[in-house]
Amino acid sequence: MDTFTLTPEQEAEFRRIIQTLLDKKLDPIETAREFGVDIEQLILLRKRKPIERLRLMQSMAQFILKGRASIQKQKELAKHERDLKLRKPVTSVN
Amino acid sequence: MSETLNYESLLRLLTENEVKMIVIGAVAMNLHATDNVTYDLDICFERSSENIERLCRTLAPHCPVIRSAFIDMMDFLKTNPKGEKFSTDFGDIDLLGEVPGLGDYQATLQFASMVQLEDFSVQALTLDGLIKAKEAANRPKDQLHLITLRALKKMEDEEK
Repeated sequence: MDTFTLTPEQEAEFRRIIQTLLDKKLDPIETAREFGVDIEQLILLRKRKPIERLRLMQSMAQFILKGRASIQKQKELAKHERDLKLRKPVTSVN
Repeated sequence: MSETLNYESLLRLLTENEVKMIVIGAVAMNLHATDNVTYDLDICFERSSENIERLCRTLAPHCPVIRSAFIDMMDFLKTNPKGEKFSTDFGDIDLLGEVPGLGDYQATLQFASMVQLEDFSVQALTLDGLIKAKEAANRPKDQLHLITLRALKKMEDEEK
């Protein structure tokens, strides 16, 4: 699943921002920091074993997937309830 | 897309069945300590008939598409280096015969090293390999990953 889709205009702007940053020719760690990468988080992750990193990422991805599935289910339920309300027959007044 | 994710089990399964493969993409990045999240496992596999058969036999019990069209899938993987994505009981797996910027399995192996995962180990792209592959792909998301990978490479070099 690609979660990073940009329009051509957004992509051009994105590349321009990255290029501006690269043109500064900073140290790679400083470049990453300036771009908003959480360097301290990377340092902490490097202290973990590869299997620990894999399991951590796996559980985060699983959590996000479950959250998405739950949101989708709620949306479908709300749509179903709306449809039912719209289909409700109008009671005739005697 | 699969709703369950267990890259560890999928990698263990492939390793136990002696499938010749290299972990590439976001899972390889994760093994090198990036903080990204991914929803599929990308691997580069050796495109020999024996290995493709091993790969398909390993995945078939867990992948309806391969199970139901076994021979067709084997032929497809033999003839399509760009590979294909499959849904399995453990999550989605992207099977690639070639890695952009690196080449086929043999060429990619030069940019890989063994990574120990508890009681088994896998071949995974090194930081240099990931950087080369990302430079070749050069999509916006690759540019983003490159910034993190180069920072990690600097940290790695400073440790040496």
